[in-house]
Amino acid sequence: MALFATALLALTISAALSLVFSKKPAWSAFAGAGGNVLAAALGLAALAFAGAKPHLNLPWAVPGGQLHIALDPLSAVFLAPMFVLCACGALYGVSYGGLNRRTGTGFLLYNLLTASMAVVFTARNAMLFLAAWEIMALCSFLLVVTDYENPETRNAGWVYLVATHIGTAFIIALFALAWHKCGSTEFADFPKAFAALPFAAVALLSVTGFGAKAGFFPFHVWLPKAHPAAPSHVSAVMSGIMIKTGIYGIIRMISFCPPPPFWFGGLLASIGIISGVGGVLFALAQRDIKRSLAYSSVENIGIIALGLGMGWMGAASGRTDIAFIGFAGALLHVINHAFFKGLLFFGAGAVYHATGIRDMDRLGGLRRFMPVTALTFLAGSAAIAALPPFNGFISEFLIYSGAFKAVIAGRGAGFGGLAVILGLSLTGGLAAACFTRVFGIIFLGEPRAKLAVEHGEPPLMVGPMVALSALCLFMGLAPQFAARLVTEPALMLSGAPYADLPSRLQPVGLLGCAVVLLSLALWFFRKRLLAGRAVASAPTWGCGYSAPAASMQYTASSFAQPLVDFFGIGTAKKIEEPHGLFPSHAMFRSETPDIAKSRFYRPLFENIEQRMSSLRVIQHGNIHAYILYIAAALVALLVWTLK
Amino acid sequence: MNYFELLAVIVILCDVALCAASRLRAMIRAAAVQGAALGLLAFIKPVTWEIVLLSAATIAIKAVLFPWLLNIAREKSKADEPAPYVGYNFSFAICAAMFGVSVWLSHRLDVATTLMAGAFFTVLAGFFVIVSRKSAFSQAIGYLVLEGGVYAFGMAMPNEAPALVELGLLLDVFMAVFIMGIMVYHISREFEHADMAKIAFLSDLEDYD
Repeated sequence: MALFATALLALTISAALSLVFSKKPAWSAFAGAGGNVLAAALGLAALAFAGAKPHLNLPWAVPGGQLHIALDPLSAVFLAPMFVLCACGALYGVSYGGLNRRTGTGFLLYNLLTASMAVVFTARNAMLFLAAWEIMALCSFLLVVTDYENPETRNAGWVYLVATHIGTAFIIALFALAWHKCGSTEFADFPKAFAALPFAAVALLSVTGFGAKAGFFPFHVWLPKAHPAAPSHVSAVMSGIMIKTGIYGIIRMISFCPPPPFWFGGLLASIGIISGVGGVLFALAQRDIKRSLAYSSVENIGIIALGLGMGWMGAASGRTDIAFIGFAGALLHVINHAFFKGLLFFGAGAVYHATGIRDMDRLGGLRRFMPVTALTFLAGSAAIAALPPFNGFISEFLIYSGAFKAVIAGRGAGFGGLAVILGLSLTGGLAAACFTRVFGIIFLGEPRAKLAVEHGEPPLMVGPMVALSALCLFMGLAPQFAARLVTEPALMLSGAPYADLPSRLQPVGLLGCAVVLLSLALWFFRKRLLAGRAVASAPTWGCGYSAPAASMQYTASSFAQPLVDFFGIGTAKKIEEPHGLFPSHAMFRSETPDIAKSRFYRPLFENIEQRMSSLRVIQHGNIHAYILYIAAALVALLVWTLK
Repeated sequence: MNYFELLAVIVILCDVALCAASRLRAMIRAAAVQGAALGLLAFIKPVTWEIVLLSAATIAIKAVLFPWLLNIAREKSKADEPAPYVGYNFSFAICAAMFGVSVWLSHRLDVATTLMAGAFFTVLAGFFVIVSRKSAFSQAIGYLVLEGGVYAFGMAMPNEAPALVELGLLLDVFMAVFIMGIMVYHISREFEHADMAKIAFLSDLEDYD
């Protein structure tokens, strides 16, 4: 625990140092990124050499609060990818953000965000948890609005701030209920409290409260706003690991409950299917790379929820083996998604850094200018589309295999398993289409607009991308190591082990090795075949066009059009068709607004605003009247307590 | 009527004078006299050197320093009217009502001394001056008096309130009035008046009016 505490200390000290040096950006970048990498090393060491029951309990002046943190296997599943991704992001951020007057505050907030997430994952006291949760929300909000001169960025930050606090309100309600029942804010006493509360209340409060952070489908609206607005290393951390605090919260709270009934697993699985399919469909329809990646995070959160739902459905119907596989798959996907989504956001950031463009319809052919970025982005795309030999395949394979077991078992779980298989395969297929599109449009073909590729590929940005893609490949080829990490928490949740998971997964990793070997063999075969023959490169067949132009290529919108039209997710199109024999002007424009936002939140909030606008009369800007309100309230309270 | 009762009555009378004063100079004077009375009231507690310090600091700040500073600022900005929202006669009536409420409150607290009633009355009077006068100076004076009420409350409590807390409060009000003074000075220099009602146009609320 000393190591872990030192890591937290390193983060806070380096955060303070980078602020102190903010007049010297190079120093504060060194302090900030160095501190974060050091903390990651210390934190990973703390996880590797954790003692029997490592915990730290110090008194705290806050009423009902205790500085109580503890490491357990469930925390470790979230902490391990967090430390790796945050350290990569810190290094990447040095190059991405550049050295300027915002470097100091940027690293202050980034390192505080890292530290607060580490506390969220380890807190064992409700007050400490909430404090860390709030620091995390505020730091990430301030990081999202780094580019605050842009009104769109401010709007995105505002949406995020509101969304996260609505979630927090539900979490506070949950903790207050627990405190009311057991009179304690220690997590150790929560099982007592939750046993006395109706399960539905605990479940719904935690799914809503933590789901807002995780980005479950109707609560996801802040993701596609905040992620494109934030700097890319911040989007990577927020999308890769911060939204997982929501998943962690749900698992932690439900683990304090008596065994959940079947409907809870069904609820999570349904949320998972809706988030998965909905997220990937909207990802397909977006033209902004980072917004597309943000929707894809909704999809992956959906896959995690699907795994968790299957786990709780299995547990409720007495099939601990299905439960174990479901939980293990979900937790493994937490780790995997952190790595490949971080990698993809880094790649998108590198593209934006080099070209200043996020609109895919204007990009193209970047592989020639940014070969390493293209290669690592391809690895990330393959991983997120769950293709072997990358890590995404392993976790989705686990969830599939659990679902097939459930189908074979029949009964209630069988229906659930069937739904999981259908949802997951639809999601997976669409995700493959989505990332074929993202990679193909950005890196292949010709630029669709005039591109000025400027900064190239700075080593501090390439390094983290290469490291993460190597990690994705390694975890795909040798899944037994990550499997070891998730075995214990999955065991804790399901109640009984299914089998030795690492050794069961080894053959799956070998399958990945076979894919790699096969590709290598084919490559060598091609090389041999072509050896000694003349090889010339020429433009591809031009479909008979005499003067092919870059604008004739498929764009991101046209690639997605058949799928988007088929599912009818409300893409608004504006078309001015060409007329006459010699048409002069024509245009086409498509945009896909978020259904949840336009059909649910906007009417809701507009309605509330209308109803509340009559209260505006008390808010008229007169200072005297405001003080009068305070005075009247104080006197009223005095009279009320003394009467 | 002992010595402390007399001081408590002075505090109360100063509040009345404050609410009824139609000149800023008179308000400042009332606040200064009240500050001196409050400073002497500190000896109601067992005399330690902390109490002596508290008394000296209170008199120095509330009876000398602030009135002096406020007078300088007042002369600079050439303002001498509190510019009330409610008339002076009506203010007087409200004053009487507030005193009634204060006496009732002190009875409910089971510490029905003159000083306790005076403490409540002083807090309310401070609030009233802040709310009902437009001039920024009266806001500063009102805040000063309000804090004096809190101080008197501490003195009126039968058990021993730590002198350290009182000193902390004093420091707090010192900072607040100091900042307010600077602000008022700048505002009056920029806008040629220190009328808080007109300054509301600086608000970033679009449709406050």
